[in-house]
Amino acid sequence: MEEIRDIFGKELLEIGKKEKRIIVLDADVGSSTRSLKFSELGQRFIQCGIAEQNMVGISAGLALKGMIPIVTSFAVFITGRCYDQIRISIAYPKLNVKIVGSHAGLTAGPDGPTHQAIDDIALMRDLPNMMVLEPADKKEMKIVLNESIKHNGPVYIRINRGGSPEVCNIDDICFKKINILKKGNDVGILASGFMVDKALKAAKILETEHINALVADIHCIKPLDVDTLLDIARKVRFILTIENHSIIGGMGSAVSEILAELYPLPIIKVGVKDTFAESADTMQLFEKYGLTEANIIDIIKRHLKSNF
Amino acid sequence: MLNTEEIFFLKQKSAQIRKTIIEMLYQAGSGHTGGSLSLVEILVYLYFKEIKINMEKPKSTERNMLILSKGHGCPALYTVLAEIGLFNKDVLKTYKKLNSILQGHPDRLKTPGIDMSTGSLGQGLSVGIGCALADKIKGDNHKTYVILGDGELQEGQIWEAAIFASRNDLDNLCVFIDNNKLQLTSKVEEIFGKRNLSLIWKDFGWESIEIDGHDFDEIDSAVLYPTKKPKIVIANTIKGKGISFMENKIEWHSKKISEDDYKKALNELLI
Ligand SMILES: Cc1ncc(C[n+]2csc(CCOP(=O)(O)OP(=O)(O)O)c2C)c(N)n1
Repeated sequence: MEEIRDIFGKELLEIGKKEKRIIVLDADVGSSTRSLKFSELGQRFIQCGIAEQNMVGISAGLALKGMIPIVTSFAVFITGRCYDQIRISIAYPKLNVKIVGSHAGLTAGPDGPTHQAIDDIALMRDLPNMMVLEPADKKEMKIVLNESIKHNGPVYIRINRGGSPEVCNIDDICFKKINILKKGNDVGILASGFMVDKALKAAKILETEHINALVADIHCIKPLDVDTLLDIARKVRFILTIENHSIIGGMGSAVSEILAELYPLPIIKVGVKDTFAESADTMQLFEKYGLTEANIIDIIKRHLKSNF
Repeated sequence: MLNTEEIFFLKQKSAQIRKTIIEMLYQAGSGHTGGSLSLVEILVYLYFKEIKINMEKPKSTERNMLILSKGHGCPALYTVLAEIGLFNKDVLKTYKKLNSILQGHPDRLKTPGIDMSTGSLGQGLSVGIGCALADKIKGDNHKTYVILGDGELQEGQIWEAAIFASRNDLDNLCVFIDNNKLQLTSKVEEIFGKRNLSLIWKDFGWESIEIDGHDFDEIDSAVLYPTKKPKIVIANTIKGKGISFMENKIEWHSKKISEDDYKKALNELLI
């Protein structure tokens, strides 16, 4: 089955054929991130070897000279390993670099905690000038990639590994806007990446029990679409966020920060708790760490019973 | 080869710039004195001979550029930029003060003529490589200069960059090491060991040239030396150069200049 990262590789190549300023950089994992496809375009694919910090610095230099560099590696290395390089050489000078991290969160599965980026959103989100994006499916991947290349400034895109069910209707995707996939007024489920599918499935089951859940896909974690977020908050009794990331500093935190100030209401954050995970298949990990529709349903039902 | 008039001119500029650096750092009440004074001749040479900034469009990167990787040496760079007219010399008085365009470390967005923001050591060489690489890809005939501190070579990223540059034949990249033998708390050799820098860089595939970093003829011939490889210029310098009591003194890395120091320093510079 074609994965979201396959679309990334293919679409990047297509964009690159037309937009000659694009340069793709890899740190010896291009076959996994799919950036290697770009080597078809010769010297505009740059193999930097296992030296991520240098790669990030080179991308900054390329951007200074007017190119549009796309630096790629696993999400865990491209953010954590290079945090200071991104901070000083990309975010602070506001350079037009697109940082792409694949195998986000628990989708790095069997490789274990050393390879599971459960803190990459937190790391990138706290940087001034940085935009943070996580597409939910292949259609959204295409739009996010095209639009982020049009945007002049630093962007971080996190990509999950593995098959992604289609959840978005292409006409409804509006770049940087929260995409409401299902209306409802009991609870608002806000999800990003692969968790959008789980949110939709949970909402469907809840409906059979007369619980009306709104489901929204947040592909743009920074800057957050505050208007739509407030609209949602006004409609529902409480909010549940679910993300393939630590509950500290991720999308749920971003949502909480805004609503705590502008429209306080109960917010339950589902994600990896303050812990490192472990090696296993991604689906088993989602199960163990609570990233399932069953867990969403359970939490929502309990909350409705106890609080209202 | 530089002619005698040129050398006289560059030396005069350097003396002027040393004086301005001392005034600026005295006024600011803090700053990196030693590592700024060691850089003066290299910067004066580069900005009067090699790097021509369009005053209307200082941000344009269609030209030779400089990445000051040892960003803490920026008092010297700010002074040179003011000298060539990128901003008024009065602005130097605002260095490090609230709302100033002159930050404690270089900021490419705030200061005209600053090509890259730096200050976290070890990052500038990679950025310079990116610039040189972009010029190669675009077929542009520009050069990229980078200045590293000798202590800065302890950062691992430098060596990632060293490997990359030679593999990619970046003959449009010229890197200076401000080899002043001191770092913040000690001598460099106490940390880095007594090593032959020239041999190390040659082994990494670079063209290596060792010079006196305060001698314009030597700087000139190093810069003009033809090669197909990326070039490293090991510029032997004196930290605190030009002020006797600051020369080769660890504490003058960033000691506050007292009124007494200031008067003594100016006296020396007048001679
Ligand atoms: C990553 C990083 N670590 C530490 C510092 C603090 N620091 C500023 S200057 C300096 C010493 C630099 O020594 P060297 O490169 O030899 O420069 P110079 O002696 O010419 O000033 C240190 C440790 C820094 N700016 N960046």
